[in-house]
Amino acid sequence: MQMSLVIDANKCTGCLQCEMACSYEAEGVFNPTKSRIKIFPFHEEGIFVPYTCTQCDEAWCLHACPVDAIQLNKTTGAKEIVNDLCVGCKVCTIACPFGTVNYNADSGKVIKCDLCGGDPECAKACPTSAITYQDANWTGYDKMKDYAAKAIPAK
Amino acid sequence: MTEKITVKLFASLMRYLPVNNTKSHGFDHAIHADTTVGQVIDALQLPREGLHIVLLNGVYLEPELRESTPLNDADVLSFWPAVAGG
Amino acid sequence: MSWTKKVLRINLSAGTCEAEPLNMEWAELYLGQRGLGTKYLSEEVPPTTEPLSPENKMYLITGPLTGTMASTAGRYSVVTKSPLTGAVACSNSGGFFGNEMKCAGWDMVILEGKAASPVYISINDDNAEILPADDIWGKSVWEADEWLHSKHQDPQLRVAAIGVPGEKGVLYSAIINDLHRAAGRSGVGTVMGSKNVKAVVIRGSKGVHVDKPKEFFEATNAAKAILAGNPVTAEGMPTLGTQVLMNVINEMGAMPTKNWQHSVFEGASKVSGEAMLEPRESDGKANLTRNGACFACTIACGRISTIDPQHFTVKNREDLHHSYHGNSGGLEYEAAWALGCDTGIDDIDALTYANFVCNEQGLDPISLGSTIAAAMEMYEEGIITKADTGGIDLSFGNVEAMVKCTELVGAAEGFGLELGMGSARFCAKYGHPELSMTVRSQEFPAYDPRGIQGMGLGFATSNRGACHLRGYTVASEVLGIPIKTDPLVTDGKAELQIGFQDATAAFDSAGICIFTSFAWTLDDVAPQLNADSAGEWTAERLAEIGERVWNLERIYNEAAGQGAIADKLPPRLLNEAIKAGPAKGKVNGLPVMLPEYYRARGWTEDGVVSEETKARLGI
Repeated sequence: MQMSLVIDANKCTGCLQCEMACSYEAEGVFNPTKSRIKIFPFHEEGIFVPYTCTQCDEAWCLHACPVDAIQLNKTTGAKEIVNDLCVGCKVCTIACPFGTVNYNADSGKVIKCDLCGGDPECAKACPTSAITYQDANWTGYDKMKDYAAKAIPAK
Repeated sequence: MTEKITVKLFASLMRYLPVNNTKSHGFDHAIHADTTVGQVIDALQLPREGLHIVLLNGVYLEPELRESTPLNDADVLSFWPAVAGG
Repeated sequence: MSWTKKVLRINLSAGTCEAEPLNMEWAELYLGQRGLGTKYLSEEVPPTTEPLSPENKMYLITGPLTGTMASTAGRYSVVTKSPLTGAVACSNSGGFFGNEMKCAGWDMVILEGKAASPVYISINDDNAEILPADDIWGKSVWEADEWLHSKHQDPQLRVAAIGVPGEKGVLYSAIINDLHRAAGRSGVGTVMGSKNVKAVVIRGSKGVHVDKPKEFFEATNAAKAILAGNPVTAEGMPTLGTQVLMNVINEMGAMPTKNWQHSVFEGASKVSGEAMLEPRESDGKANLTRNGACFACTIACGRISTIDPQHFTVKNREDLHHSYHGNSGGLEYEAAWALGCDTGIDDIDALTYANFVCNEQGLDPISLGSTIAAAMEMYEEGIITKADTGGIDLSFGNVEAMVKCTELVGAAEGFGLELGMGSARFCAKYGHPELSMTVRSQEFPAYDPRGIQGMGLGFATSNRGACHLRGYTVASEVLGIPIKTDPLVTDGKAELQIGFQDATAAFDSAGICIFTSFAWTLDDVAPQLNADSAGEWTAERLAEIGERVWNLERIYNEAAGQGAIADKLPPRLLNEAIKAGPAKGKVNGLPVMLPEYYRARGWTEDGVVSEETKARLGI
């Protein structure tokens, strides 16, 4: 079964545990600036929104890469950077409409979410289940259930 | 003789407030003479494991005294779950 | 190893920014943050130093856990000599500033000397610069924050800044980071202003390493599970925040009301945590929008609130910063009490507005509210009149007056400058020092020690002046954490207070939030530190570090003239019995508790740290 990251911004408290978990898994250091997932606080609106790669099926980044350094992981569905091939041209960062592929000046390569090979650390670190890893075919399940619950007659 | 006490519920225990009285914490509760705190807890179906702070007229009631302590007319009985702040 | 072992020393007089190694010998003895910062202060700043002179220094310092994935590990402290108290100051803040400092590769930033003209400090990893701040001098924290983000073209920049009161010498000015987190107490912002420093901005991309990663995740995950399984940290604090206390303390009759004349406030439930959840009439929204977390915090007790758009404080007020019309950091218990119960005001929107002003301009709402309350009592007693207040009718319960006073202190103008002296100096100026509810000239927090006896001892002995965050025996006396004790008796309170004081000093030195201590003991902290930092950290060693920190602060205060001579409570708490409610007839038993406390601390009968105690703790 293919799985997807499912994000519910209403549950996010903005603690950045996901950013630390991500940077630690990917870089071996607690460093939010190297995280593949970012939390965006909208201060005056009073909401925190986690955002990362949605692993597009027809991935702009993958098609744009001139050296085929972005490849599909057939098990997880993730579009992964092959560091040995990446030349740091950044075309993928321009191609991605969502900004979720970014250049890492320290390595000279681009970085993006790779679903941690099928066991995403951000979801495990999230204390409020704002980030979960669920059946890719049923990412709407919880939302559907919430609305379904409204059909229950009041006691 | 029927007597009347005030029960107050706070924090997450507010879900046990009478449906017609969700705006304030306190409500009147009729008791008979010699009714105990434990009997009020039963009557209101409050969750014993969730009653961390119990004040009788503002004074803390030790857990071991809660079942047996009798209530008097016009007493104020307040309940909280485990809470803290600072 | 999550100390970076590097210190950034900024000499504002000389205009230099230099790196130096962290003194690891001291770190072994004092850990970080509060403890280590105080060690540096006591070695480098003589206790007799004038707090607002260039000779005073400021230590912005993280703890060994700061910047890691341990829950709540984003904290930093500001240690300096306080202009409000004349004693050691240590104000601790959350948000996202401490972790950024660590991520940039620094355990500590020291500010010394005084800049010739307004400046701000910019730190980008190894690069530190002193830059001109003329464009933001005279602006609020919120305005300065916007300007700095725009100037550096970096939305991820972390900013800690002072407002106008800090520039103009209001003695309880705070340093605000991330718009609404504060190093709040004792006037640490005033010291920053005296050095002509408007802000410190940091961007860090180096990251934080830990010593033993596998053990670290085991230890921090186990500790997080404790927080997630405890009803206080898992449910109470995220849902209601610190404001859950409003009704508890009021119902037990220990709610300081109208400058501590009364101990029950009729309007308390209208400004409580529960009240923040109730939909209001105008737009159907509640005061509270949601809870928010500081860096790495899995509790998330922070309040994010709005003011009723129809309330007079914001309606048709286009002159206000736009955040007043949206969400910002909402009411915490201490602010709601000081600005509300203590002034007799039960208007939750007015309190939220005043709280926003404190955040925008960098003020300690406890000191502000308490000073207004003291002025109100003096006004009602005829000691001061409208001729003194600039025409303000300072009656208890006058919402417009409280709002006006807050705005004036925020702008540091007119009568606001009078109130900006703090309650002790204000009351003394008009000949009634006994009406000031302070210890070491710092205003009390929201617990009447006549109804919660241990807190009287805590206030009197608190090294940074009256404070709840130095020894929170409320946890035991009221909330039953870790065990319930009787709030109305003095028996055993000396030992209880010492236990809380020492443990708190250890938590405050580690890089984590004291609120974890509602669920964690030092036994839960030690394994996290152990995996994080080389060394053998045990609960016993941490408790000893806490005791060492407490005694070092005391020794500093003794030499600053703030030792045993200042272990006093105002006469109202010792002589005037509580008038009504559950604690009726009680006064505080400080005279009984204090000698016990000195004895249990291993101090002399006169409250001086003994040579034996110094030797035992290696001070």
